[in-house]
Amino acid sequence: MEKKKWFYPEQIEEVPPLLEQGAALHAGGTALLRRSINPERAFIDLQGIAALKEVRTETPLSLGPMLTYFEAAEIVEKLPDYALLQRALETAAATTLRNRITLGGAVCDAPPWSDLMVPLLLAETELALLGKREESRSLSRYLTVPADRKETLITRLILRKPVPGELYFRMVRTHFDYPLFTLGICRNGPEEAPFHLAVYGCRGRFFNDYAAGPAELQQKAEEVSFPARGGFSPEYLRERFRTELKRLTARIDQAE
Amino acid sequence: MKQEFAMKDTFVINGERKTVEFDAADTLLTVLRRAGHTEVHSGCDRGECGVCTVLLSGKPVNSCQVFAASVRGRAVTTVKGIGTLENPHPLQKAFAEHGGIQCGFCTPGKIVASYALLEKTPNPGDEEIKRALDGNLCRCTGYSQIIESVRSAAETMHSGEPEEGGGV
Repeated sequence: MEKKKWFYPEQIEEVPPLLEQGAALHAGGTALLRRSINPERAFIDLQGIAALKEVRTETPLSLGPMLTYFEAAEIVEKLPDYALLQRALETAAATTLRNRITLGGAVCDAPPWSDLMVPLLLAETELALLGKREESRSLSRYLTVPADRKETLITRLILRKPVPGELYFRMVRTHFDYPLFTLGICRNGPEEAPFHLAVYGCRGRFFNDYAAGPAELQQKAEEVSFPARGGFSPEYLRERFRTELKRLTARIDQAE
Repeated sequence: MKQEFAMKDTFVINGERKTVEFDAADTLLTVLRRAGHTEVHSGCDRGECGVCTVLLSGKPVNSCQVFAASVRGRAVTTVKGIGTLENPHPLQKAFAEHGGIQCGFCTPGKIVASYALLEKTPNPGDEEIKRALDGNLCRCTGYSQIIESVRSAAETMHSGEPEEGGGV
């Protein structure tokens, strides 16, 4: 590859050939800066591609991957039934970082402390990908199959279900910490199992399941376990998770 | 021996066009300080302390978390672009008058973030101030004087008194 360090495409179609040559995607850049950067590696700056910020608010909601957390929060604030997503976007990181972290970058990087994943899992998000060809993948699959992430660009995040409500918890020691895990519950499942639980940052990366009611939610949550993280033992994190799940399900009981 | 860099671009820093040179992996923080803007402080270099906060196209960002190569001619505003010694912004005056400054290390970042808040929300409540400054740590003041400073500046700016200070 010619030794040019940065590429500045203006159309989506310009990106896949650059990916095939080994260049890395740059959205907000915060994840790249946390890693040791190979000085020989070229970057593809996506900021000039307007199509990657497109929003479609008719159902299903479609969000462009280059929207920052701040921009996405402003958009979903105006929509009914996405309160949990809004809350996750507004509490993640800090103001200065929310102006740089992008939806697509956060999904692509998928660190264990991500605030974005729980609402996206609850929304049964589908990712439109462009690599050698156009494809779509569920978020669940994208997070677990590394081959899906290779040499592909996320062109849209399609939220197949609404994510209403306020049943969201992030395990942090102080407000500006990155969460050790996040957990959310919303009522957007099928009739026989309307309660949808998602946990991110646990063993196996995430847990995502439906249940008929609060009691079944707690039962299913027995499957969730954690690695040691941030100086906390797996046992402590699991106990904390069970406690917060109880608190959230108690709020379901009160509401009903 | 003059240092050679791989890239060159023209940034608009505090309203002034400046050609800067940098390497592909340089951050905006590095480039600004090398260009003489040492009012932008370097703290954690990890996007966690906020002392390096500047406005990029009007939005507060950690300059240590922005690649210089991604700026591409956009407007960058540092604390000196908000007001000067001769002509301080109400925020800068308020911080000095209300004890919002002790060691001063976090102050440029705090003032830039506060400026961005007041541009968007002219009369913020305390919770809004805390939220806007949630990425700017201070080890000296305990934060209450900083919140008071921002509140005071907001009152001054919207009380009908003549507005002093710069502002980009």
